[in-house]
Amino acid sequence: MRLVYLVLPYLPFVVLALAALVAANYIYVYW
Amino acid sequence: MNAISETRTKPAERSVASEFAIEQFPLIAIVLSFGVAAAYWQHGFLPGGEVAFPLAGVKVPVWHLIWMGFWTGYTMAVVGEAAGIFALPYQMSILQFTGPGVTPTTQLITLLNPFGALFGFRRNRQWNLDFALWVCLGGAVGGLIGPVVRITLLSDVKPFTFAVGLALASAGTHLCYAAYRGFRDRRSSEGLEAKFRMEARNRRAAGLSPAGLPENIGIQTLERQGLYVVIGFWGEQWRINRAFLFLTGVGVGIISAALGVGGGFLLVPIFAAVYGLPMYVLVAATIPYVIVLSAIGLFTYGVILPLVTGVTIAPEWAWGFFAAAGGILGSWCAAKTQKYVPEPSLKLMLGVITGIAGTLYVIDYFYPLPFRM
Repeated sequence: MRLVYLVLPYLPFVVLALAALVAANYIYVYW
Repeated sequence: MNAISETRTKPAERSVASEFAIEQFPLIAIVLSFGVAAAYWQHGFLPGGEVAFPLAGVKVPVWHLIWMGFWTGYTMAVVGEAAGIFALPYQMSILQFTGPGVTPTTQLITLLNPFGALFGFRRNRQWNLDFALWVCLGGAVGGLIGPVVRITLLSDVKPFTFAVGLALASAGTHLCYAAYRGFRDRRSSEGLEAKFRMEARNRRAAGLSPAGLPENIGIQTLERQGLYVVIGFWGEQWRINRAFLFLTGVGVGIISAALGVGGGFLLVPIFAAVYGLPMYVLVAATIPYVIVLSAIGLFTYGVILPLVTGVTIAPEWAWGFFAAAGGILGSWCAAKTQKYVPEPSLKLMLGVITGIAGTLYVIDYFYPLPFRM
């Protein structure tokens, strides 16, 4: 739970980073 | 001064889990099942990673569409905008959905996405009808005038998007600077940001989740005086002219409907940069606003335009519903987690998004981009 609390204030940036990762993976697999 | 409206209409306090089970889960499940049903109705099978979506001509796993909805919905709802400005370039550039169907599909996504945030913020009491009503009415009027302006006055929208791009780029720079000032003054003991830090610190010390907003505060109408309405939030006050709200709604509605873009990313910088409203307050007006504007946009482009031109462009329904299901979840998560994110971070995010969008509009004027925004 502590770890979740640490991440919460930075959540928007974490979500954006994950989105970039998934996009890169999609480009790698499907293009 | 007495609190007039919002204390009376205070929604019942519920835990986050039961809020999800009662309000969000049924909505998401319905939209997801609409996606499956629409796939069989429109194509007779369920497209995905193995079989391409026929209209889009794209192979993409369904989970990726749900994820796309989630992150675009989350990112935009956390700063109070719709998801179109991320979803459209992402679909066109990354997923390669470049057919004409991408526009109505995105409109479907941006209409449904903010509902998670709408219900979520309402439960947080980040909600005020006095504040939202006149902007939304203005948006409805502007959204209907916009397409007429587009057909009659604007034969070439490029110079207009260039001007909007410049305005957005400067608003973005302004917001980034405000974010920088927020980070720089993080030890100051004045204003909402200091209270936010103190609250988060106290809660963390007590072993609670580090929310920076207390649970019992809401956006209140403190006073109505003629044209003016006084909005209060956590000890701060803003005296807002309702005519200004209405005219801003009309102006943003006309511009966004004429250019065919979402209205939220124009409205939010105006409220944040011009009025100095905190992100936690402006969502009360901008989330309902983007729903109104999206609904009118969908109606105009789905019903009125086909009547006038005789050409109907079908959306990829299943695609739209799958992304919207993720979007509802994402925007609800944004509403529930916004109180953990310090205002400078929100401003930085909004400033960067606004600045990039504005810069791309300006670049597009000189060198056409390979995607639309």
